[in-house]
Amino acid sequence: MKVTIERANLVKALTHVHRVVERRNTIPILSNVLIRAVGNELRLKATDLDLEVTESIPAVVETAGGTTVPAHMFHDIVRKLPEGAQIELATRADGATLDIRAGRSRFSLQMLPESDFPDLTAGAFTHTFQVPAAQLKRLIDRTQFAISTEETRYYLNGIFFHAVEAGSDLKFRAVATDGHRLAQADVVAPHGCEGMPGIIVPRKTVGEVQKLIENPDASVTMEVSDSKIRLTFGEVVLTSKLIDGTFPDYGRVIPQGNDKELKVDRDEFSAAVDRVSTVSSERGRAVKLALSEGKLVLSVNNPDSGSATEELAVDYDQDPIDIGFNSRYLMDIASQLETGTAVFRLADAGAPTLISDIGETGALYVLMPMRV
Amino acid sequence: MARAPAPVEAAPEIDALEDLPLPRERRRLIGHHGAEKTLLDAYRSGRMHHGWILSGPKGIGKATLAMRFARFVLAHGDPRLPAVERATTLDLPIDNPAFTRVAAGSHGGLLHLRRPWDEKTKRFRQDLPVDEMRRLTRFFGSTAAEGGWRIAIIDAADDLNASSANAILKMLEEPPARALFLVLAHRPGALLPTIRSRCRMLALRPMPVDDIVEGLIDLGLDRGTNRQVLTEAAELADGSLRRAILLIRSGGIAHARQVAAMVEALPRLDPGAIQSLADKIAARNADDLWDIGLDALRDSVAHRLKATATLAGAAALAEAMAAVERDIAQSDALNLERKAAFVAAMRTLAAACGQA
Repeated sequence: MKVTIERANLVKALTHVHRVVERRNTIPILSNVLIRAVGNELRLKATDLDLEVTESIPAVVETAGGTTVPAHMFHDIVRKLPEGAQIELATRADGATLDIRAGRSRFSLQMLPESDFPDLTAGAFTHTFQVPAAQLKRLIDRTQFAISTEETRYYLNGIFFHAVEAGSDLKFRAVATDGHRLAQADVVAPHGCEGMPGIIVPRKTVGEVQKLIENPDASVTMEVSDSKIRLTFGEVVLTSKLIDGTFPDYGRVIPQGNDKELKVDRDEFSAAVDRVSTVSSERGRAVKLALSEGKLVLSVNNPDSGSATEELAVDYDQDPIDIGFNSRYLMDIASQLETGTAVFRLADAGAPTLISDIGETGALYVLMPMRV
Repeated sequence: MARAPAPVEAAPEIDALEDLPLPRERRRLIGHHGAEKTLLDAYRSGRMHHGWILSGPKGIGKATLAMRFARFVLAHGDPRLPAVERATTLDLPIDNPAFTRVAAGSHGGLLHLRRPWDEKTKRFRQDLPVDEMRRLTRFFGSTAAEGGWRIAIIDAADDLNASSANAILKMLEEPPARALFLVLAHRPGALLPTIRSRCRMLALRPMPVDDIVEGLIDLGLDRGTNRQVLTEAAELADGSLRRAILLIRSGGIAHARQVAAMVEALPRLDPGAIQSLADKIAARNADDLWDIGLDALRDSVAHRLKATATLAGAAALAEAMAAVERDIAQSDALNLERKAAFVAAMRTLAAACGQA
């Protein structure tokens, strides 16, 4: 293989792909990035066996071919080369070394054969559709915080994407939950996602997708089957395994009949929760919400250190109610809301509470109460 | 940008023998034709059981067979394929992508669990910790990387501690579709009954001397070693190719013979000879010799047990040997001096033989 590339192109592509490579690997080839020169482009591929990212960049190919080199080191080398440099990559005849030349810099890296590199065979995809990048980003941003990190319930370690009929409309929906809280976000269903299988996209993949969305005005091609997902962002293609499990029937935990409605200024509320929770202990981070007409009293009582209360003027005209929540979770949800006013729909102190923006934004959150 | 940490050298792998191929890299399986046939037939039937225990002493080819089977299944995902119909062995050409990737350790459909290397202590972990076993949940909780089978090789079940043994139970109980567990066990009797009852047992026999010699030649150990030594090592190796290799490499044949002679002479002790032998096998950086010495000790005690005429004598010796095993395990765990452990072991055994 012999090929010449612009530094800027190579840096950009390596920045995208090298991230998925784990820093520590028992198996040497898993630390490598695959580079393959073909036609008039250089194709890069990196994987952690759960997902793989490929990117193609324009290149002047003298001799086609492919090899693998340590991803992080290759990235560091290319990054440190001067801007505007033309980089020449050439494999030596011994089949064990890649020479990198740019200006007066010379590097040689040990290679491992291309045939040893893992391959995430995607198989056939059943559904293909285009999603505006901004919408995909929104679905992820709104739900990602609720993904469970508990490995025993592995089917909660991702975001559940599926198409759902809401009234006469078809929605493309993302749901994540850890059993204490649940986040759900909808966008208008893109054409072609009708009847797609519900898929659980693992946390790491979700994080990578988020980072790969650079231009919110672009459109992302999503391809899904019941075992893989592939997202195409222009020249960058991410393919990932899915979580092999059944996502719980989340519709049953979203309360329908909660009739006590509370409206509160989001920022004031969040700041007040943050203040009173200062005195809470590490383990029990419960904050008590005492609601009465027009008034909300937040309080935390920690027998080991002290107590705190704060009063807020709110829009509430139902029977008084006392309810406790995890302060961390309240703040997480508040930071997700897009409008300045948070709407809580409560039933009683032991029932899940629905939190949303004022008006219709297509996102809602469910929070389980804590005993206080 | 944060400074990138220095790239880590690939961590060493447990059970690796210098310059020799690992089981996943090895194409050839010596012997075990019956066991291989059993696996092939089970796969071909289309109704294969998802859990298998491959049992037998260390170093006879359990992992090599497991890898061979894994490669075959990964390469031919559908048991009804003509290639499976035609196959007479589990052999796969080395240019098959499944072979190259399994050999490189980079096949996404295969999870090989072994005692991990601990970066902090620069030693191998003494057991297969539960964190390592949790990789099973992630592995079987994700869809298959290459669209077909997901195969986990547990190498070896003898290294499982109580919690990690329990961690695999749930997966064994409710395996997802097209999942396969190959559990290697040096001492299947020591496995949790709950694991044993969920797996099909496939017992591999210790290798005959001729097979061991063939294996030694195949691996190039005959270079610079005469045939006589190969046969001698094979005979002393008690059916294990690995032991035969270690015997030749470490030059431990003489030591193994010496240990055997000492056990033979019990209850008579020659303190001078024991001291000088202990000096050699307990030397620093002579782990192989130490293992050989212990294996020889176990073998010759077992041999002597069989020859013991009285029940009481046999019981005393067996009990003494159990105590020796405990002491040695403890001294290894606490990193105590091996020489003292060996000398003490000979004394304990001598006392037991003296009673009888």
